[in-house]
Amino acid sequence: MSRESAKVDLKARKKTEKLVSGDFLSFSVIDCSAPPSFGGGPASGGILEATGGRDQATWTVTLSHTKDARLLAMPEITLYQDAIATANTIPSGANVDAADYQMLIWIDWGETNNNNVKIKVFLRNKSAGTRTVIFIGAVRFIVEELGEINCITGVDWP
Amino acid sequence: MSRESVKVDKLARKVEEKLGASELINLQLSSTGTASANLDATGGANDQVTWTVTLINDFNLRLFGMENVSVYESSVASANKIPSGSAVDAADYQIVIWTDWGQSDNNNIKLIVFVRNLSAGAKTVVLRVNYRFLVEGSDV
Repeated sequence: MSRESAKVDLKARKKTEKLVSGDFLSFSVIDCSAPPSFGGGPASGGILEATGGRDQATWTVTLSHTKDARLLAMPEITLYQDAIATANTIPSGANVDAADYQMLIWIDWGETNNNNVKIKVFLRNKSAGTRTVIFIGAVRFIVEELGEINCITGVDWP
Repeated sequence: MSRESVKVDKLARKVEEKLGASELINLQLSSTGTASANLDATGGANDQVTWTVTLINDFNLRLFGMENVSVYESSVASANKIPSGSAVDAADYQIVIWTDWGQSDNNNIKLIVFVRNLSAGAKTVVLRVNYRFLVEGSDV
């Protein structure tokens, strides 16, 4: 388990203990398709970094429940170039050339088991040079338990 | 109606009765780039506009929301929808829509809609947005 996932799991448990009871929620972030030249996925310091020319990365964020309770979730995700700052937001920041990137965020039908939530983030570096990107976000979610909606909260990562 | 839908409806009603949600919820719009105040944007090649849609409530209660968003070329019509409408050349646009982590205070919801004109000519784009949402109540 990466450092990022561990941190997220701890936060998820803390929220769950407070609002639900038991150790139900599991949360993970994986970098499933980044080629080695993109920077190798999770880096130290709790930040995912990817670098490379005309490379691409797909991150998968999975929110699941050990008892398969149904989840309703909304992701909050921001991608930054080089460092976390509003001006570095991809693709809209003042310091960013939008033409350098192709970016898509979606909740995936193909990989979900209809109880977990699978969020996909795809980023392609279209520039001629190397880019370093930072992927960071949170998920707000509602968990169904015994037919009741009993929590509304959020999980931050990394 | 499913059991889940009934429960959500009851929850929504309970929250609204308790909080007067319709009075508390505030949807704000702001923009940077070539957009004017009425959210129409006219720009030439490589111009871009970033709209920020903010959903908040006066008591800073947590919100759970899903947005309905469409961006149109020239005017609001299905054929003008960007990038998929029959009257639209998808190659003319770069469009990204996301709920932003960086600008949220974890209670509000910040939706960002980014549109870039990749064509050689000027384009006018129109944004339309609404939200379905739940507000955290004292027993949620």
